[in-house]
Amino acid sequence: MSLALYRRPGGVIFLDDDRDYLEMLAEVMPPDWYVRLFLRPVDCIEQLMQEPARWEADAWTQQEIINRWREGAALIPQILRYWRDDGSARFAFTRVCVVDYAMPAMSGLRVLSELTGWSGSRVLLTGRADEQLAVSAFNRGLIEQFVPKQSTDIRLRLNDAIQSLRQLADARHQQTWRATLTREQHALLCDPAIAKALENLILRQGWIEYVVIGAPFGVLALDPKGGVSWLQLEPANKLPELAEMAASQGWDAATVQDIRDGKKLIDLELQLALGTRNKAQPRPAHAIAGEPTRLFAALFSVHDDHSPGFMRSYERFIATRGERKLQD
Amino acid sequence: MVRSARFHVRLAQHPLLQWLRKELMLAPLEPILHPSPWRLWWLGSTIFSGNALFAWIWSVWLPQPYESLPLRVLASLLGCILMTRRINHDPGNRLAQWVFGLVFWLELPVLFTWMYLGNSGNAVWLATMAAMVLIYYHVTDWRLATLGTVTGSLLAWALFQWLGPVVPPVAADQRAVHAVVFAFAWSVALMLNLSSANLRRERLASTLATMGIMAHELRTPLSTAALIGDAIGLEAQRQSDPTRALHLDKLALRLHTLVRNMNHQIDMQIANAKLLQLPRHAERVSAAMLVHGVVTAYPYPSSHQRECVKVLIHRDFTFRASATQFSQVLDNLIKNALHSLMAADSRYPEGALRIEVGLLRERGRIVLSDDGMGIEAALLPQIFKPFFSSNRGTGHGLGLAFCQQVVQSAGGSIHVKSDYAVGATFTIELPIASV
Repeated sequence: MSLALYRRPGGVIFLDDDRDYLEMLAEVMPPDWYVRLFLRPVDCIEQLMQEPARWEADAWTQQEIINRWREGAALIPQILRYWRDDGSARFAFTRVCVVDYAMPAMSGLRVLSELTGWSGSRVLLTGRADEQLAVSAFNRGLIEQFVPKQSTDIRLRLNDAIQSLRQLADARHQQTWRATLTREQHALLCDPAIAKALENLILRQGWIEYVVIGAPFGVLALDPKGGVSWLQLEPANKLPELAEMAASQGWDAATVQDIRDGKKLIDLELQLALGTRNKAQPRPAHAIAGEPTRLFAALFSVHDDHSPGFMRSYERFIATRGERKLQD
Repeated sequence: MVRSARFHVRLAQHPLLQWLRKELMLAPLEPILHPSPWRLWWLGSTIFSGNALFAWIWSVWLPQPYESLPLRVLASLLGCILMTRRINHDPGNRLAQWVFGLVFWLELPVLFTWMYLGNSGNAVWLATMAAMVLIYYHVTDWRLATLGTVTGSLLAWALFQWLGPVVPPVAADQRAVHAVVFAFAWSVALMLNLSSANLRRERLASTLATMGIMAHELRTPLSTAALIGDAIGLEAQRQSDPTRALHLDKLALRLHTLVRNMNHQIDMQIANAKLLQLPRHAERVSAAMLVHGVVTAYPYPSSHQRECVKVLIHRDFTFRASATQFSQVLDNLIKNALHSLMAADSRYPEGALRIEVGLLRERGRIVLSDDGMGIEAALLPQIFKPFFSSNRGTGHGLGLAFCQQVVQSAGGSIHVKSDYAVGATFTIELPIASV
C-alpha cells in the first residue's frame, strides 16, 4: 500500500432505528472521533447530501493551491493559510457512514443507494439472517464493509473497520497532491517499506492531519492541538546538494559533513518558504527504512506564528461538539 | 435426469399439479389423527361395545334381514386390541399405527360393506354406510381413508360373492340413489379431512415461526446489552482506583457472558423451531471432533457444571450429516442433562454427565449418560414428539423432536433409557460414512 498524500480526520455517522443501540454505540466509540447519530433515514440522507457541494468547494481550494504553486507561489505558506482560513469546517466532513440493514422505514442498502455523489465509505450492520445479502452488496460494490451486529466483539470490529476506512486515502486528494511530487519522490513513497515507516512515524507523532509535498520534499503536519510540524525528507542522492547549500550559508565543516553523511538535515527550504528571518537549524536525521538507505528524514517544528493554533484545532473542534446525542 | 427436469418444469407451470404434489406426497402421513393413548383406548372400547350393542339392536330389537353373530364377536374382539397397553401406550410407534390402520380398515369399509350387501342395501345400511365413510375420514389420514374405502369395499364385495349368503341384490332402481348418497358422504368427508389436515399443519408451522421471530427479536436488545458491557469495560480502564476498576471489569465480563449464553440459547431455539424445514445438507463429520467442539463451546452456567462433563472417546468414527445441526443436537442433549442434574440437586461430581463415542456392530455410537432426575417410564415413549415436554413450565418440548429429526435425516436413530431418579442415557446410532 502506498502512503496517503493527504489525510485528515473525518466524521462518522451511525444510522439505526434502535435508540438504545445507537446511544451505546456512541458511548463505546473512541472519544476523539466526530460521531453523529441518526434514528431516521431521511434526516441522515438529508444531512449527508449537503456535503458533496461543500466537499467540492474544499477540493477546489486545494486544487487552487497547486495552481498558484505552478505559477510560482510557495506551497507551505499556502497550505498553512488554507488550514487557518478553513478553521475547523473540514473536520466536519463525514468519512464513514454506518447503516443498520434492517430498519422499518427503509432498508440500509436503500439508504446507501440514495447517497449519490457522497464519496465517503459505507458500512452495513447486519443481523444474522442478512449475511448473504451483505456479501452480495459487498460484491456489487455497494458497501465497503459489513459487520454482523451480533458478533461478540462488535465494538472492536466496528472500531477497526471504521478506523481503517477513515485512514483510507481519498482518490481526489491523492490526485491533487501527486502533482507536487517529482517522479523520483513518488517512486520513493511507493516503496512499501518506506511507506510503512512513514505511516508509523506519523502515527507515533500523533498527527491528525498532514500533507506530503514535493517542493520542498516533506510532510507538513498538524497535531490535535493545532501545532504544525515539518518532516523534511531528503533522498540519499540529494544529501551532497543540501550539504553544499549549508556550506554556502556558512555552517561549520562538521555540520556540513554530518549532512553529507545523512546524520543531520537542515531546514533551509522551510525557512525560505516561510520567508522568516529565523536562521535555518540543523536537526538530527534518521534513515527511513531500506538498506542501503534511500531516504533520510528530520523533524522540525514550525513556529506558532504560522500555525492555525488551538482555537482552530481538532481537539477544540471535538471538545465543542458536546455530548454525542441523537439528531431528531 | 431430463425427464425429471421436464416434470419439474411442468409442475412449476401448473399450480394445481403443485398443490396436488404438496397434499398427496409432501404432507406428512398421519395414520392416527389426534393420537393419544386415551383416544385409542376410547376408540377400542367403542368398537367393542358398539358391535355388541348393534348385534343386539339389529337382531332382537329392530331385526334386519341379515345379521351375523360370529362376525360381530370377531369385530368386538378386534376393538379389544386397541385397548391393550402395548398398542395404545405409544400411538406414535410403527406397530400401533399398523394395528390401528388394520383394525379400522376391517371394522369400517370391510365389515360395513359386507353388512350392506347382506341386507341388500336397505335403508338402515345405506345410512350406516354413509356414516361409516364420515367416521373413517375422522380417524385416519385422508389418503389412507380413501385407499382403505376403495380396497375395503372391493374386498368385502369379492368375499361376499364367494362366501356370503345368497340374498337379493340391491334393487336396480335404487342403485343410482345409493351412488349419489355415497358420493355426497365421501366428498364431504374428503373435503373436511383435507382442510383440517391443512389447518393442523399451518398451526404447527405458525407456532414454530412465532418462536423463531421471538428469538430473533431478542437479539437486538442483546446486542445493545453487549455494548453496555463494552462501555462498562471502557469505564473500568478510565478508573484510577484499581479495586473499583477491577469490580467494573468483573461486571462487564458478567454481562458479556450473559449475552453470549443468551445468544447461544437463541441459536438453539431458532434451530429447534426450524423443525419442519431442516435444510438437507450433509458433510463428513468426525464424532470425536464434534463432541469436543460442542463440549468446549457450551456456555455452562457454572464451572462445576463444566467440570462434571467427561468425554470418553473409545473409537472415533465419521458420519455424514450437517455439522451445525448435529452440534445443536448435542447442545440440546447437554442442556437437558444439565437441567436434569440441577433438578436432582446434584453436586456435579466429575462424570455426572458422560459423553462416549465408540463403535458397535459396524455402527457409530454417541452416548450421553447423566446421573440426573431421569424420566418417568410412562413418559418415555412421548419425549421425541414436538411440543411434548416433561417440564411444562420451562420447556416447549421441541428440543428432542429436533434431535430425532436431525439424527433420522442422517440415517441414524436415537434411543433413550431411563427411569425416575436413576438418570438417563441417550444413545445416537449412526451409519459410518464410507471413505
